[in-house]
Amino acid sequence: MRAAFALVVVVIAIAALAPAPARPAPPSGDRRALFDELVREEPSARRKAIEDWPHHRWSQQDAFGALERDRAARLAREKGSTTQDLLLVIDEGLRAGWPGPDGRPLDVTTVPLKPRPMD
Amino acid sequence: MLVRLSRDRNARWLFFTAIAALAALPYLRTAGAFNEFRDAQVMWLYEDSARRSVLDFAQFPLWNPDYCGGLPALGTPQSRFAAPTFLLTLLFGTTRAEPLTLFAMVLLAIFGTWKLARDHGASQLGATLAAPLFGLMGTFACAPFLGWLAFLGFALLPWVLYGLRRAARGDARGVAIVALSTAFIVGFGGTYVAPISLVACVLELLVLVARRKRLDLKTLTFATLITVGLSAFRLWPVWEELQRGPRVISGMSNYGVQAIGGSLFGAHPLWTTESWYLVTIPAVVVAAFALLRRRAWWLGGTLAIWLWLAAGNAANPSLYAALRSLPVFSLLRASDRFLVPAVLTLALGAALAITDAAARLRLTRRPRLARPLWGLSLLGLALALPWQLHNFDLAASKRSLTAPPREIARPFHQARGNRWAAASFGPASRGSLACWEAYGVPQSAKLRADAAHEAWLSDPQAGALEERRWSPQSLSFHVKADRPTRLVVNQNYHRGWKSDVGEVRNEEGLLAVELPAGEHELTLRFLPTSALGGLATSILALVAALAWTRRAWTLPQRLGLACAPLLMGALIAVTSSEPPAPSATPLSPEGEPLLVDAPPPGTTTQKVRFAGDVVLEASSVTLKDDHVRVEVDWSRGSAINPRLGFFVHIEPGTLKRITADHLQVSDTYFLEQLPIGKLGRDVMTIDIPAEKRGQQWNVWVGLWEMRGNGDRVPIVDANGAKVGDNRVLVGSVDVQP
Repeated sequence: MRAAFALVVVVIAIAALAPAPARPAPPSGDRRALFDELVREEPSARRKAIEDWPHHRWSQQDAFGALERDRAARLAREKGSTTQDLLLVIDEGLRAGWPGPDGRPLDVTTVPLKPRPMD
Repeated sequence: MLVRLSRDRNARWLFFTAIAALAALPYLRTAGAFNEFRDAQVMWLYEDSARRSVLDFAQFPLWNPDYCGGLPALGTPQSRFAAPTFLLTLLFGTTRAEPLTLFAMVLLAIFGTWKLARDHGASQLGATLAAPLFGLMGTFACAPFLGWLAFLGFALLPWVLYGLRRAARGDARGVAIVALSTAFIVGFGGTYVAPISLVACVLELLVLVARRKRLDLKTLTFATLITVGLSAFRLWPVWEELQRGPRVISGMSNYGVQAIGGSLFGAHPLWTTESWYLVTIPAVVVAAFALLRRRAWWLGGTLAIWLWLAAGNAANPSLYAALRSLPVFSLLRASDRFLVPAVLTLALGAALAITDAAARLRLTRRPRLARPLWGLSLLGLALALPWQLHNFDLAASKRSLTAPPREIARPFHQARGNRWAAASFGPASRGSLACWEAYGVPQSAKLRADAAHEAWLSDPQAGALEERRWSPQSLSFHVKADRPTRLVVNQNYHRGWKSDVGEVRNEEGLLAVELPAGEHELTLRFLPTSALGGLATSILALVAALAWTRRAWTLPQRLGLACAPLLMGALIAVTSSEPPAPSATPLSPEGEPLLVDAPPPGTTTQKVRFAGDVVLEASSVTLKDDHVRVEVDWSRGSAINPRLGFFVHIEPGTLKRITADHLQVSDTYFLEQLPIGKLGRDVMTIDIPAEKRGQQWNVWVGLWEMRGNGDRVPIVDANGAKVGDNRVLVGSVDVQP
């Protein structure tokens, strides 16, 4: 029993000491420029989402979200940042009212969840 | 020596702990890293929101403001914080607690299987060697890499069955075991483990009856009542949420022989692909040896039923389809989940096989095959266990890992968010309005991602509002109102919100408070009857269970003990001051009723009759500003086929068609739910993709067995309408470039 207990302690120690991947510092510099770069493809991403889900508004939003996440992840790799930090830059820009690439305000509302029936 | 070691409690504990540690090791080694998979993000966020509510605000996590604009934390079926493993999350953080939870659950699964096997008559050695077969099964290996930790709740399945068997013998401890393990399962969340455990209990009792074992029905009744009472803390809130936004299942699960074989024996190519239900071929061979004993017929029978259920609609007749027609089981989506109890049955078979093989060796007139059988049994397990352990390695290596989300302490605001990276927002004091769940979380369309303040007065001229304190479970404000006004909060409404001033209201789905004129210190708290009543019921059930074990009670006293918690829960529900759940009167996009007596103006009468007792009564196709509006009005008879859904083909000239298949009339009613004599208006809004402009759009509609075999439903009377391929042309419209 003691040996088992010691093993449990070892397991906890492994978990507690396992290193977390290094986290890059939050992006610095011109955040407005970074925001512009992040949302540059937003209009085309929304058009693509409509093409893919013309009959389902929530799915359009969700498909757009996937494209937005992919772009943020790609730019995060290029800039040595994280997806989270770049998504938070988008939030910062939306809250500040920075416009999209066509000069028009970006969408700050949500389409209420309407889950597609699961297969 | 093996026999001696298996009888040594300490050695057995060490063996089980070592096996569980080896299994969890691939995940433990990366405990500091965060799993980026989309579902893992949402499940992580549920757990982390609860952790922050407890540690940062000293509040019990009943409401989760971090996702979808706010949703009930306990009522969300997939959250898992209402279980003892939440202590690991509190102690080690959400990310590091995940592999520790895996380790603990694998250990529980192994130990529970050992107990169950012993109760079935397996020897110490047989139970000890075979128990890891269930603890190391593929589900425990694979669930964490997708973030589906709720599946680890299956670790409690052997405990439930063990407790049930003891309760069936009239043992009070059995009642406690079955009730506590079921409450653990329910608290740990998910939509499969609890219903499948219920099926397993029924099957276990049927086997006991078939084996002519005497059942103590009084104790079993008590166990049932106490179990329901003890689980009420979670069952009640989850039930309430699923009433508000049901889980909608469309497809029919088909899991043929090949798929079942691949899942149990190892996916192709062997040894390099993770398998969801891996128990391995050698383990199955060992389990098959148990059938050499005629008394073990029940093992084969039980296994056959699990496999029959797992096959889903691939089996004809389908036991799974019959099961899904029952209320709670309609929530089940994938029939293959029934392979989990199948693996438990195989582990029990292996334990009994080893028990028999060892017993034959000890006979004075030893059968000729005794020694080879013994050797093969040991060899089988020696091959199976490393293979299963390797499956953990394979599954863990599939993850995409990164640093855990950064925590940023700052005032909370709703953000547009992103459900594919949902965990990015909560720790950064942001709520993700972008939302996905497997059930219909009620969400307001009025939520804003750019609000300067998270609360405002609906009439800004009516007075002044100051936020005093924001926390996940309560919000405090100072309001100076010159006239009656309404305070609106940028979160979803739920009837569980209570205000100490004014009346809580639903403002187009947003949380709001109707306030009189004057100066108010106002606090909103989320205290839903479902959670508080459920918790009170569970506490009383626990007290009743403890009292039961302490002394002998007369039968009426026992009945009183068992019923008291549920009666109190019912009393709380009846006397609750909460407003009734919003009445379900869904409306069309134009705000008109969806259930009508006659086709609305502007529609064309069709009267096309389909097999399955359904009539397409009328239709219209019209061009609006940036979309095409399609309306199809349906009626149904009493002989309705309950497996139907709609297919919609929009054909823009010769371009690729748009499909808008769906299951419910206006995403609201299944066809079989339409009242007879009423028309259900199926209104669809089709946005016009740029490249489909400049065409004539022809809209075709039909019915298919969306929840059945997938076939189209024949038209039996076209009534002069244009039809083809069992579909009806419901209208055409010219879409300008």
